Amino acid sequence: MSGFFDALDVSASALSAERLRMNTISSNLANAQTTRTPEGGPYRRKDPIFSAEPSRSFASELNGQMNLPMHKVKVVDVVSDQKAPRMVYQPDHPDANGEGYVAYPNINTMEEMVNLITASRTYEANVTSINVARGMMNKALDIGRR
Amino acid sequence: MSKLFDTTIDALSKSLDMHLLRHAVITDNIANAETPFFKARRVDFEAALDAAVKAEGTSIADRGIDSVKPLVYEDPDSEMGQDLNSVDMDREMARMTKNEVQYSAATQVVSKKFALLKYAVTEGGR
Repeated sequence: MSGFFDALDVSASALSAERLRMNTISSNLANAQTTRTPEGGPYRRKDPIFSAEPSRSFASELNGQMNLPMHKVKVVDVVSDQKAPRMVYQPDHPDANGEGYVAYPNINTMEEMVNLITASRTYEANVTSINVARGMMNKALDIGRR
Repeated sequence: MSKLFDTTIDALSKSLDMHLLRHAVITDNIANAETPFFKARRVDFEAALDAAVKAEGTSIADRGIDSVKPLVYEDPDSEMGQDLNSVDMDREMARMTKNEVQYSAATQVVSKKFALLKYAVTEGGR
C-alpha cells in the first residue's frame, strides 16, 4: 500500500507548490501599481523557484526501494525580479523624482495571466492524479468482496 | 497449494504491483511538470512478466514471477521545453488513464478467480 501513499504525498507537494505560485501571481497582479514597499522603491515582481527533491519516506526505507526515488516538489526560493521599474511622468505624484517621473513596478499583466493559467492547469492535473490513485485504492480494496 | 493458487493469481498480483509502480512514476512526472531540469520517466514490465509466465518450470519459484523487475528509465521520446523539463502533460494524462483501466481490469480478474475458487470449495454454492 505504501506506493499509493507515496504517490499521494508527491501530488500533495505539487498542489502546495502550485498554490504558492498562484498566490505569488495574485500578489504580482494586485501590486502592479504599488509605488511604496517596506524595502523602499516600487514593488518588484516575485517568482517562486521549484526543485525536484528525492523523497525518502519511512515506508520506502523499510522496503529497500531506494532505487526508485519519487520527487517531491519543493519551493527552494522566491526571487524578486530585478528589472528596471517603469518610469511614468506624473509630477504631481508624491513619489515623483526630481524630473517628475514615478517608478512603477515593471509587471506585464499578460505574462502573469499566462503563468496563472499554467499554474491552474498543473494544479488540476495533480488533483486528477490524486483522484485516480484513490479510485485504484478502492478497486484494490474491493478484491474478494462479494 | 500450487494447484489451488496457480500462476494466474501470482501473475495478476505482480501485474497489480507493477501498475501501481507505474502510477507512482506518472504521478511523479505530473507533479514535477513545472520543475526545471526534471526528466520524465517510464516503466516497462510487460515483456519481463510475460516471459516469466511463459517460462519453463512447474513451481512458481521456477518461473520467477516474484522476481520480475520493472525497468524504469528516462523517456527518450519526450521533447524538452524551455526550462529543460521533458514532461508532456497530455501524454502523462493519457498514460495514467490507460494504466488505471488496466489496473481495474486486473482487480476484476483477481476477484473472478477468487469467486471461482469459492464456488469450487463450497461445492457449487450449496
